[in-house]
Amino acid sequence: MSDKCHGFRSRIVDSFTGTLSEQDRRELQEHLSVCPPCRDYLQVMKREDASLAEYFAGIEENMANRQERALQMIERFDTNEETNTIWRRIMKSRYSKLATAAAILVLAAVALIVLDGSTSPAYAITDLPRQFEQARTIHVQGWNHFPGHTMPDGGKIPPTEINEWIDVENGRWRRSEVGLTVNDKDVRVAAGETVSDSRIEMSIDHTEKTVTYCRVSPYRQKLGMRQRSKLLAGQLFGDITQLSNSRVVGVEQIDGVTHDIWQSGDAHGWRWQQWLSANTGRLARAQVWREVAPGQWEIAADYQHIEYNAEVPEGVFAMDPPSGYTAANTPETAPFRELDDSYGGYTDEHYNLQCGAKIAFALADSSVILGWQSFDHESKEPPDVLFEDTTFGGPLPKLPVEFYALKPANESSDVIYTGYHLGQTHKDHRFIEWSLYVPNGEPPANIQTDGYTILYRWNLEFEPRWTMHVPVMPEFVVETAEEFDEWVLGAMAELSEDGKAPADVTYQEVIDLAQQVRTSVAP
Amino acid sequence: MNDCADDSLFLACRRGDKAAYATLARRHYRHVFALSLGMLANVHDAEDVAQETMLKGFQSIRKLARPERFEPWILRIAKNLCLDLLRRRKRAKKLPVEPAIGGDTHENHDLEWAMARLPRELRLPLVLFYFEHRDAGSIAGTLGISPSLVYERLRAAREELHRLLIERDPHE
Repeated sequence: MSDKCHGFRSRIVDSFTGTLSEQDRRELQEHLSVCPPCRDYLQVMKREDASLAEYFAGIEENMANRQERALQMIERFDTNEETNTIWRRIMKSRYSKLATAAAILVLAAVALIVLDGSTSPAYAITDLPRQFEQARTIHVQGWNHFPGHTMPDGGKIPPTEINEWIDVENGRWRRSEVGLTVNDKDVRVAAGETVSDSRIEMSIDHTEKTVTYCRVSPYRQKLGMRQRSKLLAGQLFGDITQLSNSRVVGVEQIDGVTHDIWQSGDAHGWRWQQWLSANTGRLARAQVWREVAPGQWEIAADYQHIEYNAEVPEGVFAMDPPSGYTAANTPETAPFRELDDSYGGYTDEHYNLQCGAKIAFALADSSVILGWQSFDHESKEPPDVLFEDTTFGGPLPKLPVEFYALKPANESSDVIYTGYHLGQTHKDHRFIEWSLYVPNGEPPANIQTDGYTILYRWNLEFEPRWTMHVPVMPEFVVETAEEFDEWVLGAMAELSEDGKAPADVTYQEVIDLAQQVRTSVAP
Repeated sequence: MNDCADDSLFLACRRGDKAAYATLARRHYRHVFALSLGMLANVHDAEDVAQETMLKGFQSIRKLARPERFEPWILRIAKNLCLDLLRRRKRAKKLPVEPAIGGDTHENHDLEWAMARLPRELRLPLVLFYFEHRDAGSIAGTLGISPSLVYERLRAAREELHRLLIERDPHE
């Protein structure tokens, strides 16, 4: 077949789907009059066209019956029957309601026993988190080290200074940051700080001597404050849930007072030490150590000065650039920082996809609430159609990329967190899906520090050539209804045009839903 | 569905009026079935999904705020159910069903076989064109693609179908 014939054969096909122009049709006729193979091709295509028509006519014959069967099915449907969502199934059964109530009572009893047993004399290592949480201000000073790294000549990399403040009462914080770039020839240390006061954050780059401002919402600022406290507690104490496993490894006099040296560690080669006075309860010092080779530990951070409730000196939260520094923008022209965790995009001949996690919270029962987005810029389908079929506790909406489950980031765990729809919010012409992910087993012990990976699937006609890795790290564990209202519903309201969370999402309903899912999947 | 009669029909449906919903279902059943057939390449599965879609539509119509959105809404339900079914099939590691679209078309086994092997993105416009006799603009609206892309896919579908039929019966 010649190239010329090839072009005409496309026109032959087009002639059956009615897309030939008059001129194309004329030219095709002229070609057919001189080309027997193309005439044969036309005849074959005609036969196939007739077969297609006949074939669909055969399906057509029974359409009336099919439609009738569908209508009869609707006719038979009992309108009083509840829809088949898990939540409604739960609430329908008095047994499951009783089971939920019983589980809550058992949990309450267990909580009482645990709380009672934890009451012990003051100034044990387990008091550290309480002291930390009750402090009006927290100030730490010390040095960041670089375990496992040396200068190209084998010498020690000079440590960088830590000087951090948290002013709980006034919602302000200042933190030190450090970055290390290492290659064969060079080691570069980038030092910086972030100062947050009210709705402005100032990032200071001490290496480049520049300052950049950004604006944050009251919610984000409040969340940043809480995160800052959590991070600093993690730096000082490691995993606070494991503090009771600490042991005293030495004693040291500081300012004439005896301090026990407490030590704890994790499975990833990190170790924490705290200098605590058993008499006064003072936390004088803390260190973080890294195991750089089996049995070989190097210091990572040394907090030599720790004080609670100190007065904040003037200038700590000054929002002016330090002398000699250049400002990239001003607080007035600063961009607004959204709640965004991880985001990705993909474009091909069919799609222009964007998806990602906005914010996540863990609940005390191990389930996870995630706000996420997924949309195709190319789609002409109104996005709210995708949500019109959703119910609280029902399946997730079929968004282009569906975050259908989570799994622990730690690959060794088999636990899967299946997603259920809670509600959706709408902001900046986009929908945010809020889903509850409930584990089908016992989550690994280190889930709070390792986080999760999103399992996704495509609800698309063509499978994109796109592989994503979307990590999720919950902000913190929401323990109470008050925290739920403040943080989870707060995030929903933050990511909503009207500043409101979906009306049917409440702490109790979410907890009940998670419990019922567990009951329904239990062996 | 923009006039008053349709609005009141819609309101009746939302109150659970089965007769009113039956009127709506009759109007849209064919579209739902055609979309399902294009997605699934199996008449029986398409009928099952169309039935389930119509029932699901009845159960959840109270959540649909705007009557004029009924068609995209019900088609979306159908599409989701099809995707669920395809996913289940994939999990069950089933090959395209054989006979593919059979049941009503006893003398078209080769065509059934070839239709089931067409990529879904080509089969969908082909079904809407030949079964529903719809034009490119209307198909484009349903599939959310441009009319020119519909033409391209129709041509590609016919060419691929021809290739598959020759592969099935080289003497043809």
